[in-house]
Amino acid sequence: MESRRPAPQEPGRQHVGRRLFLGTVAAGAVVAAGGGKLLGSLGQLGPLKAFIPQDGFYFYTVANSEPTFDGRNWELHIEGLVDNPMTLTFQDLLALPQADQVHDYMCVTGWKVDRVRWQGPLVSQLLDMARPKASARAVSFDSADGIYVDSLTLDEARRPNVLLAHRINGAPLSQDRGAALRLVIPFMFGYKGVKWVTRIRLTPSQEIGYWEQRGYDVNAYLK
Amino acid sequence: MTSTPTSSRGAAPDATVERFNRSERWMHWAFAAPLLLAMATGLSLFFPAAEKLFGSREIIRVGHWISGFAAILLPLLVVAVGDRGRLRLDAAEIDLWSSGDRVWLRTWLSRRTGLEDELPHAGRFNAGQKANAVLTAAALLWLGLTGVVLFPPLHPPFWLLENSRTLHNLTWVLLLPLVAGHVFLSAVYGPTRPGLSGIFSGRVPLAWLRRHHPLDPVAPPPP
Repeated sequence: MESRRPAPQEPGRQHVGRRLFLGTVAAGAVVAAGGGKLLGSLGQLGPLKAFIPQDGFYFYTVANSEPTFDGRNWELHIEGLVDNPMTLTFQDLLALPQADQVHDYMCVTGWKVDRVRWQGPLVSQLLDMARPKASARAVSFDSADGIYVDSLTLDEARRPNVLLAHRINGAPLSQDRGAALRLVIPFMFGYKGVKWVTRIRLTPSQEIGYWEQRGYDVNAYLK
Repeated sequence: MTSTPTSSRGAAPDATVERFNRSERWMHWAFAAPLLLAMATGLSLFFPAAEKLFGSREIIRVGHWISGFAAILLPLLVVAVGDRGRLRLDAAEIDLWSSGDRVWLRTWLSRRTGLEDELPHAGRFNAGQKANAVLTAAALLWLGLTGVVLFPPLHPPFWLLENSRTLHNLTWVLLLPLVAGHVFLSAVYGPTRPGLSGIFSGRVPLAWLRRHHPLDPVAPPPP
């Protein structure tokens, strides 16, 4: 762009292209600096509404089909490096003390859902019941599809705001949201929150989860 | 059978002339092809219903990464190995606007009658083509910058992800009419379509070039 080549037939030409380029780039910078809410509000306009998830959650496919849950024939297994391996029915789960917490949900692709209410037993409660062996260092959470798996260190999993939710915003989880049970880790990005959880495994070291195998950080702490 | 006189009088009516050399054609397709692929895969990533058509998000996501990086890196490669003198001339032609270009754009934007006869004579590129090139370049820059922020391994703070997502998506929306308009005028609209061969073979009908780009410094002088 530096070399000036005035065309012979038009000596008085001006650098309009350069100015238009810089102006457009600057307009983008304004959006980048403060426009985080812009598209969200655009999404509420008329016809666009049909394409934007109205509960705020975008669904990302990991398998060709989703696990189903009808309230029966469902079991949660807790196994691996534990002294007391367990199998819980959904009724067993409901009989446990239930946490009821409200957290913002943040996705690593840049969208969030404010103030989501989650209800279900704390992971620490389930771990205490299963009694991890001294050699256990980490916890893996397996979804019913066998594909979506992720893990936490044992210390992370024991934090008092890590829970396995079966209700969202006062209603049972839908299939897309992970029924019957999904992991909620409020201090990490959403991809760590395995959906359709049916197996908890105590392991000697932390395993690499589904999204981490695809480039995302194992330590998904929100910044 | 086509003879291609470059400056002779009385050129055959079907004479053609080179408008874009190999470097210019490669430059165009180096970003155009991956950009189209990135825009298509990006749309699929945004709409869950679309990604289910492909069975899984996996292939689309990887395709989006590859095409996105290609749209930035391939043009740089063409600059590195191509005819930089000619590319620089084109950049200067796009940058420098004559008073006729301003009139051209104003007339085109406000025209009530046909495209053909009211517009001032254009140079190598008319004002619409110049504006399209500049805005597309600015869009590529922002798509590239925000795309890198959203690329998994980086793990940046959430506010940066959120604003990058907004700008990335907004740029897509604003770029779409440019791309659609460009494809329409180059491949569909009758009066301008004869120039389409210029971006494939490099050659365009001489009569068309003299009518649509009479002031092109690279074109042969009129008879």
